[in-house]
Amino acid sequence: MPDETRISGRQLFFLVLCTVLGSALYGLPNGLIYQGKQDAWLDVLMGLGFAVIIALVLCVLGSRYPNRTLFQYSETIMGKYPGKFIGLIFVLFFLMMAAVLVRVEVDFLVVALMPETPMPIFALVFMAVSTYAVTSGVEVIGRLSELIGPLLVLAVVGILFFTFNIMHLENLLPLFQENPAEVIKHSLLPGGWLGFTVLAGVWMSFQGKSQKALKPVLGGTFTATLLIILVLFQCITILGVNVSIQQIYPLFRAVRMIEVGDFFERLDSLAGILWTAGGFLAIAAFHECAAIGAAQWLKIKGNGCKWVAWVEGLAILFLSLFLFHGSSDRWLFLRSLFPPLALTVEMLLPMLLLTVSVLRHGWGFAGRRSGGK
Amino acid sequence: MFESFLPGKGRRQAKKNIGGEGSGRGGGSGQDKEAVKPGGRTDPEVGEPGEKNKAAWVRSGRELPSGPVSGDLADGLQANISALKNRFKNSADVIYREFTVRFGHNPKAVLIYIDGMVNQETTSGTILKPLMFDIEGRDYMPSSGLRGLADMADVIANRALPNKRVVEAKTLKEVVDGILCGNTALLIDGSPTALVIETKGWESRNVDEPGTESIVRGPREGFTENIGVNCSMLRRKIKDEDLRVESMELGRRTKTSVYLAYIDGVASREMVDEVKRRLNKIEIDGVLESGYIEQLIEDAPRSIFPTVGNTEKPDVVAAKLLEGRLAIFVDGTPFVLTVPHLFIEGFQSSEDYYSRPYYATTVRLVRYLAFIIAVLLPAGYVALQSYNQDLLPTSLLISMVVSREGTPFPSYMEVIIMGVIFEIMREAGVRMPGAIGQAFSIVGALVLGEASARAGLVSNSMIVVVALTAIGGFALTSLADVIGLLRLFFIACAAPLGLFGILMGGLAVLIHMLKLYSFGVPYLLPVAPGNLNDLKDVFIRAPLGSQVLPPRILGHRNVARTMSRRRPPGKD
Amino acid sequence: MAVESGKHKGRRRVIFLFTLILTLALSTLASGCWNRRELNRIGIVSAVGLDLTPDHKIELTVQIIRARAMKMAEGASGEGKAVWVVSSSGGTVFDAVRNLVEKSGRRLYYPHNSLIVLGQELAQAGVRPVMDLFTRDQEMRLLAWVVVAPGTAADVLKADSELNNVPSKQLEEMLKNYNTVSKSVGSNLLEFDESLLSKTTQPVLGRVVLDKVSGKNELRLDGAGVFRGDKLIGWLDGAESRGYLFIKGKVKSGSVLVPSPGNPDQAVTLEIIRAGSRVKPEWLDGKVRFEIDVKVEANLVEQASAQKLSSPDMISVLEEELNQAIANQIRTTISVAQTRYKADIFGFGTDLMRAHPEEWQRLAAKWETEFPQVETQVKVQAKITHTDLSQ
Repeated sequence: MPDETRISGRQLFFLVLCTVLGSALYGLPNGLIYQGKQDAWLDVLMGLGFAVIIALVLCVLGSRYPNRTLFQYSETIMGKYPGKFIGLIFVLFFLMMAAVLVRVEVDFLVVALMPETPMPIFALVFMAVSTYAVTSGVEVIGRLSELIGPLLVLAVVGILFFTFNIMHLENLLPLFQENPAEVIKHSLLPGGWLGFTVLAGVWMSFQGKSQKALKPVLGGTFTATLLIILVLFQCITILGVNVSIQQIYPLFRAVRMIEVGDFFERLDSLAGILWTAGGFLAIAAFHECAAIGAAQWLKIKGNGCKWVAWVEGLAILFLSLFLFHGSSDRWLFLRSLFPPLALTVEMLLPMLLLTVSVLRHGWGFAGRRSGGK
Repeated sequence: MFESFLPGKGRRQAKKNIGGEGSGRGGGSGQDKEAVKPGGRTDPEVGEPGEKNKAAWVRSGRELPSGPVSGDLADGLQANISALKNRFKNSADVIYREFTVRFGHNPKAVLIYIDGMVNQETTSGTILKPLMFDIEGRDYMPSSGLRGLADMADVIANRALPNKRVVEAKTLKEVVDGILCGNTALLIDGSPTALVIETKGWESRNVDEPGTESIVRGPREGFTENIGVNCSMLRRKIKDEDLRVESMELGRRTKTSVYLAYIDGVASREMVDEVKRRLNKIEIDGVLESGYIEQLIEDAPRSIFPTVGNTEKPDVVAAKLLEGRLAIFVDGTPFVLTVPHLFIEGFQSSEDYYSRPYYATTVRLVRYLAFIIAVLLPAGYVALQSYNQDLLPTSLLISMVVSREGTPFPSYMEVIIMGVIFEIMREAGVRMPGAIGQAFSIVGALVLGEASARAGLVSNSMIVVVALTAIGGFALTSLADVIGLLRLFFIACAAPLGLFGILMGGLAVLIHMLKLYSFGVPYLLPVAPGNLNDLKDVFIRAPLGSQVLPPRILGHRNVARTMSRRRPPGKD
Repeated sequence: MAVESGKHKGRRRVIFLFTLILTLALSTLASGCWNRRELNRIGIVSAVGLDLTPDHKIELTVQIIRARAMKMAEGASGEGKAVWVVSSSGGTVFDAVRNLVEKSGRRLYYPHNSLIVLGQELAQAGVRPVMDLFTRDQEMRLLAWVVVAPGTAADVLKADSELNNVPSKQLEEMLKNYNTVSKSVGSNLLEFDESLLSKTTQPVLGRVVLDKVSGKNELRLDGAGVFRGDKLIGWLDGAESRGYLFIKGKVKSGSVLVPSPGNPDQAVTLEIIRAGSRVKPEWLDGKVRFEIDVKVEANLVEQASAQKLSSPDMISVLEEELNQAIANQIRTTISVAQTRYKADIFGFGTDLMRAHPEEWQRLAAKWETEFPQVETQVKVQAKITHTDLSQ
């Protein structure tokens, strides 16, 4: 599979960007501002550190094992059974994150846009379209990200354009009120979120030359971080810290404040729907990676991948519906359980893989495998 | 549509022609005369493919599976005639003209042709006249002397018949096929070979302005039903020896001529092979229009999106060939197919390249807007009316409420009802003779629209929406069918879920389009997978000078990579 | 034609997808469409009023747009009012909202609500219990204006409007342009919510007064209501409101009358065209002092005397008078806030917190007692640029 289909560098960039940003627009700002108040951006910058480590580790691994996915080289590195175990952890993590993201999306839609529509309908629509995308192949998701990515960036930056007059920059003061220990503690949540970059470990193998993956992956992560910080700034400068904490979806509420020429008001539902496109892409990305992982884990080839995608689509659908009891449950999960879990899988596992790989094959390994044509 | 306008090949050639003592233009008009004879009688063989295809015009594309005509010709004239009469049973239009050749031992001979398919002047003037009168006084005998009757046909072909093309036929099947094509068969008593003489010539339409693609600036000529004329029109645009026109015959019974045209070295070899492969796979009894071929070779027969393009204009075909595309001419229709066909081609018009870039860009953006309006406006209206009223400005909402007050149907029913009524009106209007059509549209617009709003059946705003949608659809005629289906699909999405439904439906359609390939080329190509250079001709129309690089669209790399995976249609 | 067999997979998928879409569409349409609300089945709420009933329940009054009346007005005779004002009561706001449906029959639709009027009694009893719904519910918009009425909110909503057939629209326009007169305060739900959530800044809302003029009720924006916590504790009059707006930097325009330099009984009218302010907390030997810098640009638009005022000397005299007038207004407002209401309506606490976070930590807990004692220094720099078309 990896040699037939390809993902271009630009597509990789947008994939990483959309996976991180698309899911973060309403899942993240409230939690971040709750933790860090007006200094939340510091936490995000700190979280970027984690993401950069993840990206670097994956890129090194990727160039050591060109055209192999995360799942495949973990078997090569750790041996058959331990490798299978690690692969399984990744697959389950991706599945679970897909379910969490579906739930975040669905909760948003139900609470903010269409309160009378039952949740399963949204989840079903998401998973139906996502399964369609996943069965269409990696290329399709890559291209989709290339189309949606710029729109998503535009949607986020566009808000800035329309809200200049209602921004109160003084809301960002006073700066640097957090002490370093707090910053590190608070950076786990954004770190875990930015660590969604780990999906690049799967995409990279479709990129033809894995060595060239570093730039788009890092670029995507940096851009996503910048945009998340921009979103935080928008929330805080428009709504103020207190209201941002009070509101579960502060960015959504901030967009609600936009007035364009006395005519267009209440653009929030339009913006909410647009962000949903980004969220969908994040879901589909996790779904795709989980499907690829499961297919490689079970050594299924050809049309079997589609079958796996269907099964996983159903699994994500049900998991998303029964994962949380309600939205308060979801917030508890995101604030307490999510950061350590995510960082363990996203950062520690790849680091472990790299360590073992270096111990087994030495540093020069990468040059020999991929330096020559 | 890039390359033909570069200051490169195309333009330089044009200049040379103008500068070169009028030979270019003069030649062109000369060819014109040749192609379109006065009285609408056209010569179908102008622009026939090069010499190497000479045999192909008689030889059928491939063997018929169960041909009742088989076997060689007999020596005796009467045997052959009766065999042919047996073949053309009950065919009053097959003419057998028997006569005596003033030649050698004055054998009996017969000319067989189909009335109306041959040019009578040619038949009598260049076949009957030399054989019956002129040949006698001449020194026709080769120096070595006449060796038997088999030589006779050779001598006649070489020395007596001034026709463009004379081919010796040895089997009954070749003779029959030749006659059916509009040629004349000459059978000579005692000779085992017949001569099939080129005499095609039948009534056909003049070259005319195409009805479907009218433009303000640009050449007005459009293709006709005659494949030879069509091909010659292309030749006149591209005077390059690398322009290849390969011929084949499709349709078990119609035996329709099909030409595959491309520019060698510009079109990728793999794509040419792939198209030929798909064409050869076609098994069908009749090809009456290029639409048959289109449906049998397209990549995704079940998709609503066309992956094969068609046009009526030679300049469009020429431009597409110069970009590396292939054209498929089908005899009997002015619609020429072009492959591969990408989605954005629906938004490009030949006129974009003839007018200056700023205006062309504006017009092109307007076309995208029209597409969005035509596809999404009714669905958006349903969403805004029934789900997302908050997006409307308050004053607009109030006036909408006022217009909606008292109407009985929910908004999606309104949209569907009005949409159906509009489609009926359009269909009726298209089929109606011109004069009645006008009156009809007035009745439709005024009476139905105005009165149904007044009667409180539908709201006023609904009528505005339907009218806007219709106008948007008219702006893009080539995508009309896609627009209609997408519109329905999006209404179905918006009715239960509002804007969210439209978004998810849109994503599903997008994924579907991203999945599509046209002859190995991704359907949405310059947009996704993106290419900044090619994007110069998507949403804008960059000045010709800046479109330096040829479009990557048809680049070999893509084709080579994806061709093997695509399941071509028509293989089973 | 010839291509029929095979490809079962593709066809099956197409059929499956179509079935899925059809089932979805049909099932939703048949089941009454969860969220679908047709325009002719909803009532659009253009304004909301909240009062306290004598038995301490919450009375909700809404102004609903009557499409039928507007449709008739479009045609010939303007029959009936364009809005319908209706009230209901309940233990909470949401309870009242639901009880209202019993009267209206139609589902009421709030996103286009642009005005929330609070009755005096309710405001004095505390608004936090009623404001929660407006920040929580997805149909409510933070852009809605919030005003307080000296009487009941219901009366305000029942008042007539001559310019606009939806009365609340006129009030909305008045509020939008509050800072062209700058004698009242326009505050939207977000600003109100922000100050309700803040521990130091006290909310200020515009006041809507009902005047009886020849049998008709006319609405007028006049002054502002001052809150401490969530309770209304008093009013600011027009001049005090302007002082407040100067400090907050919200003055856009407005007229100031100063005595003519030559003959003091006659007035010169100066129109403010631009104004800006900066509040700078200074820390001086353990005490805080707020420096308020106001910069004003004004035009001379009218004068009663025949004196020529366009000379540079005269202008500088006028500027000085303007400085004094504005500074006095500001000082009055500050003293009203410090002594009469003891409420930090200017957000001085927040300014201090932003400028000196460490020192603020010491004051934060006792800011309520500290605020009345803080020193302020007002500096106004006025500049008169034009005298319009006459000398």
